[in-house]
Amino acid sequence: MKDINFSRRDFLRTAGAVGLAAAFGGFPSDIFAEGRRLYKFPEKTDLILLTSRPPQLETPLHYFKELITPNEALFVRWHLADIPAYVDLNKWRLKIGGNADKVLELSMDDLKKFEKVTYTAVIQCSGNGRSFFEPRVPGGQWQNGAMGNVTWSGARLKDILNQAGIRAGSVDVVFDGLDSGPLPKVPDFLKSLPVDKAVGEDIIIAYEMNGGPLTMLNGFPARLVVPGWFATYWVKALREITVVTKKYEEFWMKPAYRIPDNPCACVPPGSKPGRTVPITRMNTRSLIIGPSNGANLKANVPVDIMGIAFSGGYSIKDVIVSVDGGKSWGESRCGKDMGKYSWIQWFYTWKPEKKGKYILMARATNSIGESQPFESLWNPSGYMWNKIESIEVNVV
Amino acid sequence: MKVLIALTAAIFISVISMQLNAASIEGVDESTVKSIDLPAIEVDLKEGAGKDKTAAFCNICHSTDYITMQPRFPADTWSAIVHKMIVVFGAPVNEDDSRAIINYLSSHYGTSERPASSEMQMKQNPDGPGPTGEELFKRNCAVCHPGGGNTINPDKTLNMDHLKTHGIKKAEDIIRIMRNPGPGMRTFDEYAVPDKDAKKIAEYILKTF
Repeated sequence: MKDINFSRRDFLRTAGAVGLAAAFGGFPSDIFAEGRRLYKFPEKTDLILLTSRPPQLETPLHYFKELITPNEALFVRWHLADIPAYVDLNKWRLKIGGNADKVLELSMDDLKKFEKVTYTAVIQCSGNGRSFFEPRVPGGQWQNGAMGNVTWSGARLKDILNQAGIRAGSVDVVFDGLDSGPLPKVPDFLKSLPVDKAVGEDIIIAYEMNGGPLTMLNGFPARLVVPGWFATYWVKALREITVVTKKYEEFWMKPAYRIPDNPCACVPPGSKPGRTVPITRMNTRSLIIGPSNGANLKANVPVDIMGIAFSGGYSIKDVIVSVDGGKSWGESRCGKDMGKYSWIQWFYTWKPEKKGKYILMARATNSIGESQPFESLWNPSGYMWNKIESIEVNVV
Repeated sequence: MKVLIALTAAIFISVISMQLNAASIEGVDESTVKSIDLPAIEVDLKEGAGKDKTAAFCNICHSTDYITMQPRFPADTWSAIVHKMIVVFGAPVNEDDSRAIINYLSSHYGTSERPASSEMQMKQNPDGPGPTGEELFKRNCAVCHPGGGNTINPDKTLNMDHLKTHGIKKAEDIIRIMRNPGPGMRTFDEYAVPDKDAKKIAEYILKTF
């Protein structure tokens, strides 16, 4: 067992899963976390295997005890089976064209000549937490590990677009990566940003994550980083950027990746939304990382409850914590501030006096007052999960 | 002697430069290349009728852990998923195969362990009444027209008033569009939906929405 915080509940789940695996001629016993199968992909550590082709790999929760998620532990999510597995930088070029004065074909060296911008930002899949929706919805059945906090470096998209010279009448900027579908009719994974958003100060073409090159599965050689927005826009292994004069509404912008057009982005569970809009900015979330769900704690021994909190581009104002299932709340201490796009760590010291079961909860609020709901908000695609998480611990 | 040395040197240099050229033509410079080997991971699908067909068709585009990671879904959800694969992603699955796949998924990864109704329909007497218009609609149309709406183009629902504004008034008008649709809609030819089924669907649409 690699994780010393592997809880009894984890163990029981794992034991059950291993029992099943053994019964069906499955796999060795040391490759499970959170009751799910682990697998090691190239340049990655053991991650939770959702799917192998295309790869969807989830980060085990214990990595979130760190402020920065290591490259080898960051989650992986591709849409189409033909993903880049071989890139030669001598040949790779990022093409910028469309409604622009010039067509650019940038090599990695060219990209590195632009001013280098570095910041830490949460990357999170739109469907992170989808498996918690009730009624359940189809799609990648993520728990909480389709996210991470990474220090990104790269060139400002704005500077590149300025060098190309965007012409009047531009509406959207469209991004295409090296991935493609295995059949001709499969819609290629292209995403777009409105031109006003694309020229924002903080959007970069990142060629480094945590000071090193991108891992292949996280978008080598360069990917778009749209801090504050869900990762669906962070197109990996970029190949081409095209400025267009009409609203771009192909499959992955419409009907895919859309949310109900109302303030909660939700509809009554099980129902269909009327008008929809593209998903964009992340909502506010917090998560309890330690102790783990089902942990045994000792009475009268202080324990540091810790977790993380973030929101889509606004700093976290406070995180309140409850140890009695939401009846009373106390304010936590926040850790180092790494900027409005990063997550913060929070800490809450608790000395349980009586033996028994306790429900721990955490709720974050950002600087513009956006917080987390007590009841889950439902939408048919399973996006934007941010219900107040609760875990149960036993004091013995 | 000097000439000979110069000549030898020239040949030597040109050989080297040819080699360099050859290397740059192939474009392989290990320091600029990143490559990975993606693992092929086997997935154990549950045994049952339709398993091989399901694995064969689904694996064209994705590994079948896409199936095993899902929670148990009712048959109409599996049906919607399979039809999305056909309509949106172009999976080359004909009507018989899609029925077998939906039946396998809803039998082994569904909310009930009973074989889904479509298998019973397949066993029915071909001269019998067959599936109802509603069942056919769910199977063929509901993925894009849930509840008579339109997930691709909200301006073209199956609502009676909406249909009339587009000149669609009779069952024959609907069948004509199924056989020869406009942009955004897949074609439902006689093989996908025989005439008697198309008529049932059209009548169901006209009386329902």
